[in-house]
Amino acid sequence: MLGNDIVDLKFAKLHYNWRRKGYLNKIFSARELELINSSKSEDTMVWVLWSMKEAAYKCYNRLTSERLFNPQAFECALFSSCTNSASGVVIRNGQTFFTKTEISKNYIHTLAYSGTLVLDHLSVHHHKNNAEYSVAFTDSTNYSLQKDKNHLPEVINKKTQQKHMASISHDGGYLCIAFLKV
Amino acid sequence: MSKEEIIAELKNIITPYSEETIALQSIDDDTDFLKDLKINSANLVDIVLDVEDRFNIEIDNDSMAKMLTVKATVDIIESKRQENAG
Repeated sequence: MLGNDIVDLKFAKLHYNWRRKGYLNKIFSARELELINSSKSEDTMVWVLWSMKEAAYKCYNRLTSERLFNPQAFECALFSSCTNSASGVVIRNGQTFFTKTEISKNYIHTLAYSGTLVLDHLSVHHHKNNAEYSVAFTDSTNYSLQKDKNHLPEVINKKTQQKHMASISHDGGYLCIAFLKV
Repeated sequence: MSKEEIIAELKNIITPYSEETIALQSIDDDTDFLKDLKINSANLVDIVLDVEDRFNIEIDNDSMAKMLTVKATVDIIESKRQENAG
């Protein structure tokens, strides 16, 4: 399974006030709060962990069709994190989702994957968050985008017509398409 | 507080977090916060906190998990208010 999530950091600063009283407690476990408190950049760690949960939620939703707003039920752990990337796992109901997070000045993007997938199988494309993203994606890759029978995104290889699972996330000015290339 | 009053108050809470003006105007039981109102999940947390403040209730994680539609949210508000009154 595959899921992704992007946070536009400038947009987040304006629209998501995580410093609001009670906010973090609705989302994070005591262990995750500890990770945030001990981090050099609390702001970055909040959105790294948030995007891990959201990306893993998309994987889990694809597996189970379960639709709930329960970020606390997705427990994050980090294997490593530095100024421009982080990797870890998210565990939900005994299911493990591996995560790889890209940290840039302007955005944070997490890929979550499970089962037999590995990072090498995945491709990530960044676009502007506007109505033309699908055309822009088709023009710049060998794939086109569509919805599968469950209304979830998938890509089609223009040459082979082979279909692959995809995940799309957008926030503020950014849109990111992640898909299986094999 | 009647169900209509709760929905009206809920609409006031939700409005700042949605740009879907048409969907907001025709808000009803079936309105979905994510699908219809395109509310970002980071702002769903704000809505949960606003509902707690406005209705003077505490929303536990299991209740919050269901708060994706107007109907589910009204049901939670009504049952928590009853618990408080009882």
